[in-house]
Amino acid sequence: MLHEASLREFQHYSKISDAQLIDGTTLTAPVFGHWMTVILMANAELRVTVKAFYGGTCGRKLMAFKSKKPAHTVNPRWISDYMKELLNLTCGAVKRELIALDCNVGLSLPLEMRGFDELFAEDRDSSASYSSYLWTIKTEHGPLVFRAEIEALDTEYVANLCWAPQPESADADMEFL
Amino acid sequence: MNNKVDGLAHNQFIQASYHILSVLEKAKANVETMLDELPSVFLVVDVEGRIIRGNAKASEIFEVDLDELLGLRLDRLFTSATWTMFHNHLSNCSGDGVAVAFELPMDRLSSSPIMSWNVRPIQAQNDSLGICFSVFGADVTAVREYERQLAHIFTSIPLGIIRLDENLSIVPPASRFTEYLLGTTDLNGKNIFDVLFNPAWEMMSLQQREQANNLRQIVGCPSIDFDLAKHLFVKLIHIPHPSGGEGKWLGISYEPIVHAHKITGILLVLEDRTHLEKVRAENEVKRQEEDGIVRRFLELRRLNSKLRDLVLRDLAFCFSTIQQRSNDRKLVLHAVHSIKSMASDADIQTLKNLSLRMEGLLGGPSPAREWLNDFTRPCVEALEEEWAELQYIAKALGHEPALTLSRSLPPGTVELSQLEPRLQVALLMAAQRNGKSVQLRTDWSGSSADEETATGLVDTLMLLLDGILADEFDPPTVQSESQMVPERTLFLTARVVHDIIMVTLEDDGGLLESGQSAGPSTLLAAARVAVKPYNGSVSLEPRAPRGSSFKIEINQASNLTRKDK
Repeated sequence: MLHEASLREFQHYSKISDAQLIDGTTLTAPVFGHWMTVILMANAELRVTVKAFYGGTCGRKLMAFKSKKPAHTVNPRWISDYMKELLNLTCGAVKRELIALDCNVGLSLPLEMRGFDELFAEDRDSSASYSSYLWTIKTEHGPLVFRAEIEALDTEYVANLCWAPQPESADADMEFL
Repeated sequence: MNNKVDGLAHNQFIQASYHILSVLEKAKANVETMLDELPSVFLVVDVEGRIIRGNAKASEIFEVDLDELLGLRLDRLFTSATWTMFHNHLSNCSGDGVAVAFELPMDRLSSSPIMSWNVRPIQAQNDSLGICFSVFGADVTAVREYERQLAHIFTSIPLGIIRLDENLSIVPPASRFTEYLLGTTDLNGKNIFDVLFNPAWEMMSLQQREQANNLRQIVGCPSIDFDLAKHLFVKLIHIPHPSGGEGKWLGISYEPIVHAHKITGILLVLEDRTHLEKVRAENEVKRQEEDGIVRRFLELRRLNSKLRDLVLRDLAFCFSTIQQRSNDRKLVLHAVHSIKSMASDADIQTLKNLSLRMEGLLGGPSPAREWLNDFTRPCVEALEEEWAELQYIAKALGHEPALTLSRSLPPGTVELSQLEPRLQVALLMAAQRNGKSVQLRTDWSGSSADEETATGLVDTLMLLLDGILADEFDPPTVQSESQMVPERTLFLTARVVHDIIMVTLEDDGGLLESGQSAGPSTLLAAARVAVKPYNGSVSLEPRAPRGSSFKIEINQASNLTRKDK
């Protein structure tokens, strides 16, 4: 669900249609990029943390492509907003799908951090069932590495969630809180 | 209704939380940006040296794009030798759990900068990584180069530079020249009094000791007091040589070391002024000598020329007594007393002082039998030097010392050469009177005689010269107006052999013709009469090939005996 939503939202938001989805990454764990945006989807049974790692150069090029401006004119803050927006769109789409499965989740504000913060950003509930997923959206401007950490606080409930890919409406947009 | 209210409250709570998170995010981003833009290298590496965080300076130093820096291993950025050393430090750091600091050159780059590294272990929450290291690196190449240049200056500058702490103990480093000036290499931690002031303490005046102690009181005072106080410190000190040599003169200047407006230490700059002090002392001696010369000159010039000649003549007589090194202590004492009196009358200060001192030495009780001994010799020499100076200056003033005074003669004795001016004058007057042209050549050979004998001798010679040139003895030569008067020559020689004065007066034949013994016979008789009172005799002999020769002999010894009787 997250893999496909991330690719779909990226292509839609960035206007880049030839991006590829790759499982895993060739980069060295655990810090996959200098920058990282993070967002949390959570309810009583489930906690999903999604992180998007990217390099400064990659972020600048993607922002320049989207805004149709030269890379050197790109303000670093635009990149931050761009990446947070992308993550927000991705998780907003996932949230809608979860709601359709009768799983109501809250979505946090996306935050931007340094990729290095990954070393200290773990806040894992030891009683929860934990799983993580790593995938890369490969573009000509550079890779975006996504990492999703899913903590199932109610394992049975989470296991009963049956999800099937659904066609995304063309006017799908971001989640408003 | 209650559910709706609860929902709204919950929504506001979430929004507030979101807001505070945004604030925190911005605050954290600011800190992170500062780290990113640090002017030093900042890295976080794992145990294997793989970079998991870097900043812009690291990217610049390693010449790798920031994005590419992530995941790179440090061993790819250093040479193997450098990495081995770096890794050793990492291992030590991880073992001890404390920060380590070290310097390593970045010899991978063409410029080979010297980097100062500081590595500190940090524990990551990510279990897969375990321990990591924060690495700060600063390019200290320029600093080390300046240090090297400063060290070069510091070791080669010919000044002693010492930093003193609040206890006046030497804080390293001191300049290399300090060791030479103070004669010791063990300076660190030593009190400045132990190495500088105490060795010279015995030679220091009370004022200098007080000035040295002022240094103890200035530390801890407000910095504003230093400008006034620094005039009260020792400026110049003489350090004796440890092995009894000449020692050194050290000039000392002081600068305060100030912290929080308080004097916490003192910077001492020592300068070797030994040579300068020597030159200054020599100049002082020279100046005093020049002052002495000027003073003597003025003292002599102030005197009337006749009085000056008289004084100098009498002084010459007295000094001749001293210079003869007579064994008669009384005679020498009398001469010194006369010198003192004359110098006092003529107001010649140095001579008066020296003679007064000499008189005290000679007049006082002395264990030595000889009046000239080690005790009196320096004073005698000083006195004689002073006399030589006075003679030199007198000569510059136009005073001609009497010929008799050039030699040391007993009192009442004159050199026969002193008679010559009178003889020359008498001869010239006689020649003019008789229309003759004649010159007298003399050879006195340093002969001298007692004053009475000399008087008789000069009277006899003048009689002979006058008679020789008289008309009756030598008729005037008949000459035409155009004919020049031929110049004749007389030869006078004097010798003293065993107290007998032998004087010969010869002519070259122009005045006394050979064989004309009858003419001079009258003259001969008159001469014999003249020398008779002096127990002398005169004879006349022909002179080959022409001319005649008068020989006068006077026995001084018999004269003295007669006088004594």
